[in-house]
Amino acid sequence: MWLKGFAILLLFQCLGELLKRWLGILVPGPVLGMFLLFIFLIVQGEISDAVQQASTPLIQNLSLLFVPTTVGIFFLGANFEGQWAAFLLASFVGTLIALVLVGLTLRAVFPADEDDHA
Amino acid sequence: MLEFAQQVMDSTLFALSVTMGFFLGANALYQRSHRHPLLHPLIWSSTAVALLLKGLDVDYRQYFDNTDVIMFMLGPATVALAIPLYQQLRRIRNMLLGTLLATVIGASLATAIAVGLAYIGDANQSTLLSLFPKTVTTPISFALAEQFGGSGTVAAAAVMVTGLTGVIFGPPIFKMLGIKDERVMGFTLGLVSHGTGTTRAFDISPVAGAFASLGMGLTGAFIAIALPLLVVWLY
Repeated sequence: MWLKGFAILLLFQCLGELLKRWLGILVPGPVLGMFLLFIFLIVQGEISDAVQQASTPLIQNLSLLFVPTTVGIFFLGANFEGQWAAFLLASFVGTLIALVLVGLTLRAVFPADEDDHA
Repeated sequence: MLEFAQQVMDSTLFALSVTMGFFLGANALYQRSHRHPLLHPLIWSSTAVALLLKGLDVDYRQYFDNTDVIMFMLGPATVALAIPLYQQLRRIRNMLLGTLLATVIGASLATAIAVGLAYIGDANQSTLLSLFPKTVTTPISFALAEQFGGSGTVAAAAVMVTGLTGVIFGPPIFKMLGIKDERVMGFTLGLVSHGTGTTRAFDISPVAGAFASLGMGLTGAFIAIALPLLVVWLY
């Protein structure tokens, strides 16, 4: 069951890579695969047990998959010297400003609380 | 004996064991602390692995190449993100248009602020390209940054700082601004601070959490489509 779900995920990743080649765009193959699976789920109207079983552990342990990449921060070396100020400005200060502006904007444009949204 | 030790350290088995071992340890600590954002397992497992590699004098490139099984799993994990997106979207069918509008405006704002500040801060092109997708969940931002010719590592780091900043400063900022609508708080946290912000939103209330998941999912989808077009147009 788990294996079948995993194979379905890989199939959609392949379809995503094909679509990327076909369209010749910069959107990554797995991201296109995500959209294709999303459309498939809408058409199907439900999530099969196999896909659910394969996806849950992947999503729950997503952080693990980024450990090797994140370790690289300690090995950025000379290439990244002089970039830290810009990095922190964008990542930290930028996020503070974004929280304020996005919060205020969303309060203005968000649909009124009229139905059972929970 | 020394040669054997070297062989071990350069092996896939070593790289995977160390990565998973430290991650499990860091994750246990994180769960024990009731998911304190500063104890996020990614921060401490990465730091521990880096220190070990430096201590044992293992080449980072070698270690990274040996973890390609883990990197491979990123593909199907990214595809799997369709599931939470679908689950969230089903809940709010009748207010879809408003949330889509909110996503487009909010995600554009958050990205423009980040890139604008990086530009002022004298970022080079590689750094700039890595910071563009900082407001979306790591699998998407990593893939986008690499695709643009930026650095996946810098992108992952930016996403992490963005997530933690939102988690720590989001709620006090909402209080300061007088934002009390749980839907707005949740959606903002998910939009700006992706998955990390979403976990914080679930602490506020289930409604805030659901809207954070939705904000995160829609932002990821919008950025994944819009950003490549923007980058092609800019460069």
